[in-house]
Parts: sequence; structure tokens; C-alpha cells
Amino acid sequence: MVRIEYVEAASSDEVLAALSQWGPDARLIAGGTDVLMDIRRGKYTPPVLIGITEIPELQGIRPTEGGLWIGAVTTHHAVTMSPLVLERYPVLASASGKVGSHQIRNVATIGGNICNAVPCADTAPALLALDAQAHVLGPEGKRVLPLDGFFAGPGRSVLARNELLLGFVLPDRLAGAGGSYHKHSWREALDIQMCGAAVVLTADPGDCRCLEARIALGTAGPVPRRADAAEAALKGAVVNEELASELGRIAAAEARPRTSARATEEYRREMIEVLVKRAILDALAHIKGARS
Amino acid sequence: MKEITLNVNGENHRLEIEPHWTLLYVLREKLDLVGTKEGCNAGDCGACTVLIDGKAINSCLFLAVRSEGRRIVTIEGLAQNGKLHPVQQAFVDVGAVQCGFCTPGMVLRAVSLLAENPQPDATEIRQAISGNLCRCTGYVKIVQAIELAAQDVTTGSGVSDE
Ligand SMILES: Cc1cc2nc3c(=O)[nH]c(=O)nc-3n(C[C@H](O)[C@H](O)[C@H](O)COP(=O)(O)OP(=O)(O)OC[C@H]3O[C@@H](n4cnc5c(N)ncnc54)[C@H](O)[C@@H]3O)c2cc1C
Ligand code: FES
Ligand code: FES
Repeated sequence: MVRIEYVEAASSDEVLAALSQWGPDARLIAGGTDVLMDIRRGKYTPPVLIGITEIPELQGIRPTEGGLWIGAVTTHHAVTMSPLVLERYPVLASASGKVGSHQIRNVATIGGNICNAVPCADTAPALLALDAQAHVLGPEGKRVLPLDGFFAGPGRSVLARNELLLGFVLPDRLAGAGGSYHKHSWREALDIQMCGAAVVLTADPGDCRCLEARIALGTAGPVPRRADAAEAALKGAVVNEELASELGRIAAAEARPRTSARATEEYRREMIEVLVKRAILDALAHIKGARS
Repeated sequence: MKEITLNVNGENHRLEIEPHWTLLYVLREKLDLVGTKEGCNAGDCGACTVLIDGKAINSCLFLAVRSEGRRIVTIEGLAQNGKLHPVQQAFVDVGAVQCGFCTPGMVLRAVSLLAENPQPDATEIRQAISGNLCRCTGYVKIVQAIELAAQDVTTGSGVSDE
């Protein structure tokens, strides 16, 4: 029978100590909704699980220098209920609210969603579109890296085996920007996306000329990614329905989805076009709504 | 083996467990609390729903070691002094139980919903129970039962209060 030890870490230093003591096969566990399923499916059998949810440094949502801090072990439920997130970055609350079920969101964390690094992670497009910075701790100390560049491949991030994600900072610059996340799945609840799209944009409330734009896609390639060409075409342009349709086409053309049991490449591409258009129009409505 | 104390339905239990055992396994196999059901063992069906400090979670995806020091409520802990909890009573009155396999999870999710939102509308109820699958009823009676319970549950019924 398998034997897996469990260590509850009380601080990030204890995590690093446990990681160096147990070696590269040790596994951090936050909510455990991915880890326990991976173990059950035989993907890996770690000698030890290191619990990180009791570490104060990894918890909480609070204003910090330059932005809003979201601790790695914040549950999706806590993200969806946070007045600070709802007011400043509603696109993230929307994305967290689309993960799994209520029961899953009560334990699954935003850090786990990102460190698991699958292309369909629902919070990834929203965090990418919000220019999130990941704060990481390793034996050599802290480093801060943009989320754009965090994903290394399907199920792989740039984190080393002995590193720990502490949390994210969302920039003040994008607080209150127009934003929207759309997820397309077979069922409305408890389903993994076929694809997803998040848009964050700031625009002149008068003539709707776009000042700054971020478009990020889920399940549109091996990792969650920004739609660079669509972003470039959006910046400086007057946002209207025609432009939104055009940007949907551009994003679909630059997307690299593949065929899987859930959907074909062609279908995903068509849906990315639709989701990007919808997300842009929603973000615009959000900006216009804020003005009136 | 690791020794832990679990507080289940207001009672403390001292247990020897393996660190990787799920709360579902410990409840059913070590404490004989078989009201909590195992459906999918994968987070998809909600049959294993229990309350931890008032929050509904899937006990099949929760390690028992992490439940130490918290208040666990299972379906066996809802009735008080032989009297059904109002949500249970509403399920009986409306006829929301067929085979009954989903019922413990449904009832506990409904209890936690009413603690958060004492007057949910039908859409909110449907969204709230979207992590609980029922293969029998078609959900109509379940939604009706939760609506009925909302009429007489006073929040803080001693179960999911803080
Ligand atoms: C039934 C079900 C439905 C689901 N539905 C969805 C869905 O709709 N959308 C979606 O995106 N996901 C879904 N998921 C996947 C999962 O719930 C999410 O990815 C969740 O956010 C993972 O968080 P966690 O805290 O449970 O992660 P864990 O399982 O604890 O960890 C995941 C991975 O990240 C690592 N890790 C965790 N925290 C850190 C950290 N701070 N630093 C470094 N590494 C870390 C772990 O070692 C592990 O490799 C679903 C899962 C289940 C079981
Ligand atoms: S048995 Fe836990 S969700 Fe199905
Ligand atoms: S009553 Fe049979 S599964 Fe719901």
C-alpha cells in the first residue's frame, strides 16, 4: 500500500526546509483538488504532502504597494466574495466563480489553479489580462515575475521544485478597468472549459477609444496565453461592435488550439472568435456603465 | 499512522489514521457514519458533501488530517433531539427523496446555502446545488423543498452558525 506522509507548514521558511529535507518528489498541497485527483489517477505518488494553507504569508486579499495582494492559498470562493476584487477587478471574481462547484471553490485555491498550469485553468486568462505579478520564494530568496511567462508547457510552470508561490499582485493601474471573462463548456456547472477568453481594457469614456488593452485566452494552445495581435489591433482603436468582431477573428487566427475529447480544433477556434467578441463588448458596456 | 482528534457532530473522536486518508474514508470506514455517500470519488457528484466550520466541501477531496481542530457536520448531526432539521423535514414533506443517494449531500448543501442566503430564489438554489448530482428526481422537488425550508429556517439553526 502507498504511504504518504503529511507535514503542515506554519511558515514559508518551513516549506523551504521541508522541500529541501524531502527532496524533489515532495509535493505542496493547497486545496488539494488537483493533487488528490492526480494521486488517485496514479500520476505521481509523493513521499510527502506539505500543507501550505495555514501559512499567514500566503493568505488574504489586501491593498499593497502598487496594487492588490492576493495570497496564493486564497480560495476561489474567497476571491468571488471579496469586496476589493469585486470592485476593482471583477473579471477575476467572475473567473474564480466559474471554477468547479461551490464545494470545490470552498477549498480550491487560486495559487493551485495557476501552479497546476493546465491550459484550461479558469483564472489564468483573467490574471494574464490583469497583468498579475507572481511573487515566488525559493532558497535564494524572493523573485517577482510577470504571469505572462509563468507557464512553461501543459502542466508545467517555471517554478523550480524547491520554490513556493506566495501570491499575486494586481496593478492599481488596471483597478476599475472594463473587464470580462467568458468560458465555454458543455455544461454550465462543474465542467472544464473547451476554451475561454478574458478581456481587460481602459478606454476614453467619451469616444470609446481604447487606451490600454489585454486579451488572454484559455485552452488556445499548450499554455494560457495573451492574444498579442488582437491586443495590438485593439489599442488606440475606437471600440464598437464591428471592431469587436474583427478582433475575434484576429484572436482566433493567432490561437493554437488542438483537438481533444472535449472539442475539435476547428470548433475551439470558432468559439474563441465568439468569446473574444463577447468579452470585448461586455468590457465596453462595463466602461460605459461606469460613466453613466 | 498518525493520531488525531476529529470533532464530528459535536463529539470528539480520537483516531489513528494514515495521513493520506480522506475525510470521507474516515467518516464511513472508521466512524461508521455511512450517511455520507461515496459517488464518484472525484469531486463531481457532491454525494460526499459535509460541512466544515459551516462550509460545504466534498469530503472525498479533503484529507482527514486537515479536518483536525474544525467542526465537522454530517447528515447524522442535523436532527436535534429526534426532531429533523427544517431542511430534512422539507425534503420529506415535498417528496424530494427518491433513491436517497444524493439526499445527504443535497441537504447539507442546502443548509449551508440558507445560512449564507436565507431567502434564495429558484435560480440561486439551482446554482447552489449545481455541484450535487441527482440521478432520480429531475431536481424539481429538491428545489421546491429548499424553497419550503427557506420559509421556516431561521439562520443560525445551531448547525452552520458561527
Ligand atoms: C470536480 C473538479 C472540478 C474542477 N473544475 C475546474 C474548473 O472548472 N476550472 C478550473 O480551472 N479548474 C477546475 N478544477 C481543478 C482545480 O480545482 C483547480 O485547478 C484548483 O484551483 C486547484 O487549486 P488547489 O488549491 O486545489 O490546488 P492543489 O491541488 O493543492 O495544487 C495544484 C498544484 O499546484 C501546486 N501548488 C499549489 N499551491 C502552490 C503554491 N503556493 N506554490 C507552488 N506550488 C503550488 C501543487 O503542488 C500542485 O502541483 C476542478 C477540479 C475538480 C476536482
Ligand atoms: S464522492 Fe465526492 S464528489 Fe462524488
Ligand atoms: S434521489 Fe436518487 S440520486 Fe437523488
